Amino acid sequence: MAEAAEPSPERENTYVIDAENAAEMARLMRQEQIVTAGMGGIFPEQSDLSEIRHVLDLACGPGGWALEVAYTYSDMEVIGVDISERMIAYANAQAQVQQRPNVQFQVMNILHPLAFPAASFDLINARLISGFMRQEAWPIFFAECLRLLRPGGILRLTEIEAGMANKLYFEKALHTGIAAMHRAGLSFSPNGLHYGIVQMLPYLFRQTGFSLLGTKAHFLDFSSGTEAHESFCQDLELALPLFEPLIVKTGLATSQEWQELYQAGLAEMYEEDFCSAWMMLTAWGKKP
Amino acid sequence: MDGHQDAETWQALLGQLIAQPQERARLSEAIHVRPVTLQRWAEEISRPREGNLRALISNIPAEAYTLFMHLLVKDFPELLQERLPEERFIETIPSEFYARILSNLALTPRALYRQATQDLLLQQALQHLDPNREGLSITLAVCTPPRAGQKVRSLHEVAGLATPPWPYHLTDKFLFLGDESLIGYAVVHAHSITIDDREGMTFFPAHWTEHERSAAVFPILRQARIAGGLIVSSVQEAFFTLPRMAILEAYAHLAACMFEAEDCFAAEDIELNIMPAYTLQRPYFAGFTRRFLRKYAEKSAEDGHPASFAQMRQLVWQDLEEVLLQVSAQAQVERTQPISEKEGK
Repeated sequence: MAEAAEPSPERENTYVIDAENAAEMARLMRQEQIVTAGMGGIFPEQSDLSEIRHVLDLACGPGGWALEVAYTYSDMEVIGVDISERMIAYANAQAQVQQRPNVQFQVMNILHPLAFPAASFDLINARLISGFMRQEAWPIFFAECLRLLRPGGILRLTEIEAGMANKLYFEKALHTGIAAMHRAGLSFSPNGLHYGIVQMLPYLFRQTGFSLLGTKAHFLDFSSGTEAHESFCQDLELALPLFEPLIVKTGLATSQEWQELYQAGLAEMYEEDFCSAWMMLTAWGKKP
Repeated sequence: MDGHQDAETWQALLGQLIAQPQERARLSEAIHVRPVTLQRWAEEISRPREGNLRALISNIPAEAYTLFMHLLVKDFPELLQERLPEERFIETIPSEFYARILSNLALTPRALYRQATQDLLLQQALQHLDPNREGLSITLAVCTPPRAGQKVRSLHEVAGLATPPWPYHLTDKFLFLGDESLIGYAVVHAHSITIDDREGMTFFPAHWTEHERSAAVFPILRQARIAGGLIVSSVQEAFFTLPRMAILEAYAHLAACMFEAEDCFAAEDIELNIMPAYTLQRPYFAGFTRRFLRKYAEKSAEDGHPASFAQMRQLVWQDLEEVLLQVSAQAQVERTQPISEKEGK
């Protein structure tokens, strides 16, 4: 009965793109690969993993990062959780065909207390979750991570700042997306000019009882001529249309205006002098 | 794995495996024989009894299994007559994956559909067939749509993923393929082909790439009309066993979902030409993006709204095909010219 009274994860989903959409799943799988490669690996900043056995990946999507950890470190036990039942079913199917007995996936909403005992994990990872985290959700999220980690356990978070390019329509499309996130309450920026999360991460660690161990910046260059360019083009060819419901809902553009804008922006991505990059930050801290 | 590729007998491969003390101890315990017995088999001093042989097959490490079986059946041909232990991979496509493809078919807008489906399919197939990343590449090739009154004259590659030693995305390696290619042969004859060993004799046309040791191709059909094919390469000899071929064929069938009726062609509407050597093609791709952007700008201005990227890419593929067919024709003329004419005498 108590469970029946819980709000449905589906109804509480604040993610800006329909997480049940198969095109979004395909995009996330591509994006996970791009981001991991761009960051230099799954734990590029962690020099000592000898104490890490139990790993939790929050908002794991189709499971790319967790599967990668399970493949690379067969002695680790990895659990991925996500709000989307379809993503989780798919991630479990991936674990099955890849024959990774040391990884499993479960449906959970990370905005709620998670169904794990206290001190269950040595390391908790989350990447790019600001797409559904309202400002007020962050302290609650940190508190739950603190509960789930054993003393000395590590929380590592990676977030993004985007919106820089040397092309008018491309940058305008990115800024429209950022403004829509701001209107949806998914930004720390007071005026919606940027995502505004990367500069907040160290502060949030300090404010929520963690001991901040370090930060590492990542520069993911996807300008024309770079190795990542084609993958980013394909990622954004899927992502920008999927933003349409949010853009229209927040009143920033009509459907047609948004389509014309992102199409012009995507065409600019293919120009020879196109320059753009994602700035990402990984911050990690220890439970005292 | 590279070391295992050098083994020419199952005994030699076993010898390589048990050279590692840990592996020798593991196999010895699993098969219930003494380590020295394994050594005697490896040195061809004695041969395993039937029960030992089955235990050995069941306990060979996954990464060596395919080659081991390939070598073993040469020595024990009677093994071909019976059902052997299943390979160490899941022999069916998970139902969840079918559900995803069908959900994509039902719900994803047309403009995103092809890209999303091909991404899902290639990623899934690669992870399924090569979970331990030993070296596999899967490329999707589609029929180049003919202009009015023409037949299909070539295929072109549109997407590809791989595990090391190849790069994950094969985007820099896309080519036109014609009658000279293995996939061209498979498409024309509408059946799959496998070549187990690049050193072996084959009557099929094959152009091997670096690291590639075995290959298989699968036509993609939709309502018995041809849309394109899957090209699969492995760094291992004899990778394409019957169970793996069955799985890949199932993926090729599933790939039919990504095509519209107008992307598919009856056999009588396909007349593949010979495309230029792949090294000759490369320079012509340098201007692909410029051509694409020019067509996009022209068409968008003409229509008063943004043109479809997919349609513009298709127009560029058609233009490039035309150019490359002329290059190919010219090369053939030069090959058939008498030497005296070539030298201007």
